[in-house]
Amino acid sequence: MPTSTIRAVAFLAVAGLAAAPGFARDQQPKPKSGKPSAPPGGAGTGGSGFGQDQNYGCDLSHATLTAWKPGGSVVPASVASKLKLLATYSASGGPSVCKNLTPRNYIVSPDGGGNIKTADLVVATQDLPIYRAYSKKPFTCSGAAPAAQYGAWWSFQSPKSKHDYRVRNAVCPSWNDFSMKETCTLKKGTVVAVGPTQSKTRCDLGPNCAAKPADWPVDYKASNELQVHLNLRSRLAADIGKFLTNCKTSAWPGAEFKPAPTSSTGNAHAPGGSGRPRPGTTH
Amino acid sequence: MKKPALKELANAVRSDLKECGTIQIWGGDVVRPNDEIFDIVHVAATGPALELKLSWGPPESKREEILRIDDPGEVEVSKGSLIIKYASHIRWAGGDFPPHAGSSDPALLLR
Repeated sequence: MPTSTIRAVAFLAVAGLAAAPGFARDQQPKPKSGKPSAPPGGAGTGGSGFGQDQNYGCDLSHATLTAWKPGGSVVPASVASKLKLLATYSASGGPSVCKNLTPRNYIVSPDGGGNIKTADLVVATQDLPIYRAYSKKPFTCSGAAPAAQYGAWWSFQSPKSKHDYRVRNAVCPSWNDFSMKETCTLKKGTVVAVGPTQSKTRCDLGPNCAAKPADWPVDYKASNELQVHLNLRSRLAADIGKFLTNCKTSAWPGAEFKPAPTSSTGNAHAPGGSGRPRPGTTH
Repeated sequence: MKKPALKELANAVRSDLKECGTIQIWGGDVVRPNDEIFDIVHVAATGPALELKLSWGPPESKREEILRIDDPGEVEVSKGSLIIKYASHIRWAGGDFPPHAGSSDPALLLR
């Protein structure tokens, strides 16, 4: 065992979690003094035509929105035409009108880190369908916390083929078996972060695996598939329902990989699913 | 150099790391980075191990699991990040993670 040391390095610019304004739970922007607050998620009277975004807490009432260009990202024209650019989410920070913005380094990753390469903050100018694939429960060679029903990463395109969806979105097999699909409506006036898929390496880890399936890919290349980030962290279903509505769950049957060898220490005991009440059922 | 006092390490982690979205064990992401955010709700030195209780999920159905690092060595704690270079074993939520032979990746990275 090597000699051990503790180096407490305060205030390294690693994640800046303590200082990140976006992580005060259920933090809602306060209306400016003397001005009535815009209706949640609805149209306001300002320049953008929108009021208070419920995802990142962006006050759009005086925001200037411009045409959004997807660049090389894959997004249906019917979707692209319903998105407007609020701001590019650069390393120097997001727009000050957003009070509950997820830190950029939680969204944008360096090469090999997965998620997305760059991020634009866009506004849905009309209701839009939005999709997510997730795991019903822990599975053989998954971790204890495979993708839940309402995680952060979504898509504007309905998943078709599991293999294609995995490759295009660089999703490691141990994170998500794509056993379920979720379809919701993203309400107009909602701000989301979007960007093309970053590459992911080191997808080789599967705990409780006697042997991982031989056809699990280890590395995924970056792609032009557009991914959508939502801030669902520690949000009540009622709050989520302010920007995600009409959610429908369905099984996504079909095996993607050859069956993994059975593990004697499998994790089938671990509880599965998020159990989160469906948002938007009151809308 | 002397071995770190585990209680001292636990205190440093308790002070500097409140949550994480990335859990890397021996260089592999055991969850999709930042798809969920995990609250670190309890940190303890238990025998030769450092134990962290992680909590995640929506308020209506929180889940909790223990991350246990046996014999942690060369530890770097900073605001929002924990890196443990060596460990004799890691256990996470019932999963068993022995060291990878010849791996230069840290035993654990949380951020």
